[in-house]
Order: sequence, then C-alpha cells, then structure tokens
Amino acid sequence: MSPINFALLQAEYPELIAEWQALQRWFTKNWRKQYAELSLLLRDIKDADRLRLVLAIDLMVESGMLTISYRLRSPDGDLLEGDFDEPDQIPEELWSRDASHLIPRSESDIVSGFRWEFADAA
Amino acid sequence: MPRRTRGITPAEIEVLEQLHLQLRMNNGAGAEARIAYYTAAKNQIGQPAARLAMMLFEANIPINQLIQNYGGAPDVQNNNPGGTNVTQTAGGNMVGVNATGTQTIRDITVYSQDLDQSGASISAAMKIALIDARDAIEKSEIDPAMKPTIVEQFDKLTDELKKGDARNPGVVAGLWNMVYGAVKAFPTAVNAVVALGKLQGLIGC
Repeated sequence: MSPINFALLQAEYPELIAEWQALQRWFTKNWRKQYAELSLLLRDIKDADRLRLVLAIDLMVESGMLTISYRLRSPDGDLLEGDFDEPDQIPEELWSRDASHLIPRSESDIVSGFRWEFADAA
Repeated sequence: MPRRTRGITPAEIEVLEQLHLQLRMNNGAGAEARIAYYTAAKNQIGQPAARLAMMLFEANIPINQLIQNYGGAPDVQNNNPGGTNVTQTAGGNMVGVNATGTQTIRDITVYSQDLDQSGASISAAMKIALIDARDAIEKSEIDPAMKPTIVEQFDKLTDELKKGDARNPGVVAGLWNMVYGAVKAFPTAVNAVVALGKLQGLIGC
C-alpha cells in the first residue's frame, strides 16, 4: 500500500480536482481513523458529485493508496470481525461480536471499507 | 465525465445493466445477492470492474446515470466556452434507453421472423415456447413502467439462446432470473407466468 498523495492524484487526474480537494479535506481531518466505510465517506463528503466521488475513490484503490476490504454487518447492525479482500471470500457464517453464536452471511449485509497509510495531507 | 485509466466500456455497462436490474428486481440488497452480483461481474468483466460495480451499487448510483455518462465514447465534451446551455450526449449506442428516455421494443411479428431465421440453434419446440412467452408478456397486465424493460431482457435472453452451443449458461440463467422474477411479481400476469413456465424446462433454468 502506498501513502495517500493528493498532489500525485491531482496531477494524474486533474479532471477530478473537485473530488480530490473534497477527499483531501476529509482525510486531513480523519486520517487517524485509518479505516472508513464507503457509506461514511459518501455521507461526510457532500460537496462533490456522488458518481465522480466513487470513481475517485476507486482510482485511489487502483493506485494502491487505499486498500478495499469487505465486512459483514449483522442484522443488529454490528460490524463482524474479519476483513476480506473480495466479497466472495466471506464465509457463510461469522461469529457474533460477543462470540456467543454464529451469524449466517445470508442474514447480513456487506459493507465496503477502506484502509490507508497517511504521509501527505497537503 | 473524466477519462479513467482503464475506462468503462459499453460492453461492461451492458453487463452491469443486466446484473443491476436483476439485483433490483429481486430486492438484492442482501449479502448473498450482492456476492452473486460481484461474482457474475468478475467472471464477465474482470475483478477491477466488479469492484467498481459493487461500490456504485452500494452508493445507490442509478445505472442510468452510468449509462448516460459512459454508455458510448469514453470522452464526453463537458465544456462549451461560448454558450450557456450545453446538451451532453454520449456517442455510440445507449444501452436500453434512447435519447428520449423511451425504449423501442420489437413487434412480436418481427421477433417471430428473427427467430425463424435462427436455424437449428433453437428447436421448433423452443421457438414456439419463446413466441408464446413473449406474446403473453406483451399482453399481460404488467406495470407499463416495467414492461418494456422486461421485454427487452427477454429479447436479450432470446439472442443468447440463438447462439446454440456457444451460449453462456451464466448469462442465460441471469437473464432468465431477471425476466421470470419480474413477471412473477405481478399477480395479474398469470398467463405470462404459465407461458414462461413452459419455456423454463426447455432452456434448462
């Protein structure tokens, strides 16, 4: 995984300047999290076109600056343990957060999330 | 719309449109449906495109928006320095929807004639079942907002079946599930469901 470099992204994809600026503001504020769900990014970043924002985030994944992972959210809303590189790698059951019982994949939702290192917020 | 390093080709859009529709028609927001969507997309258009497709679905980006922006030439002129009103059109074929927002559906007579020309790739029994099902769908009391889309997907299923041994079983199954699932959702479309049921055994779904 490469550190996020918005200067490089803006240079390579100048047509997405508004999205890079919006993302840079978000990552500057939230870099310590080192993980964020797609839904959170879309909810927090309102000053960008949604489709273009998704494309920009995908380019960050393609560039190696973000790592995408998939997790299961239980019917109760809990994010279950386990990150998976692709959705079809998720097992048919995962343990509940308190490890008291197994939760079927078929009863859960899949959420996309992203991890990053952060070296350049400028 | 920005040019991407790898682009979203019209062929990818067509696959995504089919899968997207299937997912929506079957209320496919759950994990199983989304995994099936991802796997089908990965098999047909590759993992990077499947990853993007999942993100677009999760973000609730309408497939029509994607089609409008990418359903033709990869470059769309975004600026018009000399004017104020800009009409953007994507070059090439618009998948499923034309410029006025309406879908052109082939007449049943034209459909039957096309089928007659398919030769030995489709058996006589299957031809009859296809025509009966197509006719039943057109005459059924399905919501006018949905019917053109269902008929269009049925025609795509027919086109795939015409390929004979070269047909893609995954595509056949996917299109079948879309059409059958959508028609079954309308209690008034009994005749269409029956006709499709007769077709089901012949196509092996």
